[in-house]
Amino acid sequence: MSPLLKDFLNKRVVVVTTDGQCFTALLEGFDKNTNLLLSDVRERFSHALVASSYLMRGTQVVCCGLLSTQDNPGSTLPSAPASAPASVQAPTTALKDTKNRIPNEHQIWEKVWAAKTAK
Amino acid sequence: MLFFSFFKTLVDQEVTVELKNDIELKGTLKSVDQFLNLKLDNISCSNEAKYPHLSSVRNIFIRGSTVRYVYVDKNMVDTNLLQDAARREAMSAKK
Repeated sequence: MSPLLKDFLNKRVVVVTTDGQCFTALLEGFDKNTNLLLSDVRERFSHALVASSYLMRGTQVVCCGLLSTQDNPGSTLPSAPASAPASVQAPTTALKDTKNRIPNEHQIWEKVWAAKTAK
Repeated sequence: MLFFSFFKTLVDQEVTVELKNDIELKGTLKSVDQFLNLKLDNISCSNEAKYPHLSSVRNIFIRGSTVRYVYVDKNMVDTNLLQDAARREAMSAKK
């Protein structure tokens, strides 16, 4: 239903996730829940290979941008970060985590369970 | 579906989208779908030094669920008309 990502198919894209990570990858496919099928997934800044194939859940996706430096999709790595100034290259400020996770949530539930069973 | 129609009237206009992870993107709204996923063209990040993640990205797809605000120009929207339409839709949804 969502044809919006069709233009990005088989192109190199930047994907930002809800847990604040940022990847570059080749977009192989998608569906209407924005589940993304990615290949040659690399860390945005270090270029470290994360996975050669990756199915990302739509709920994890924040945005998916086309790398504009490329006219040649596929195997070649984008030279984009090289043009960025060195000071900007390292993401010193990580993206905000939008998952609203509660640290040590299991301990809270443990207490709730203990209080319940004590009655 | 009202806001889907509303965003369709904003196509080809310059908007600023603030995401829930605090990134602000300014660009031309290219398309929108039923989930209010947005596609922006020619984006610029208003706090690029802080968030360099999207440098060298011009054309971007944004998942609707991650959008916090969409800023539009005052004269691009008739608030009275929109309010009216929203009320009418709420009324018809109740029945």
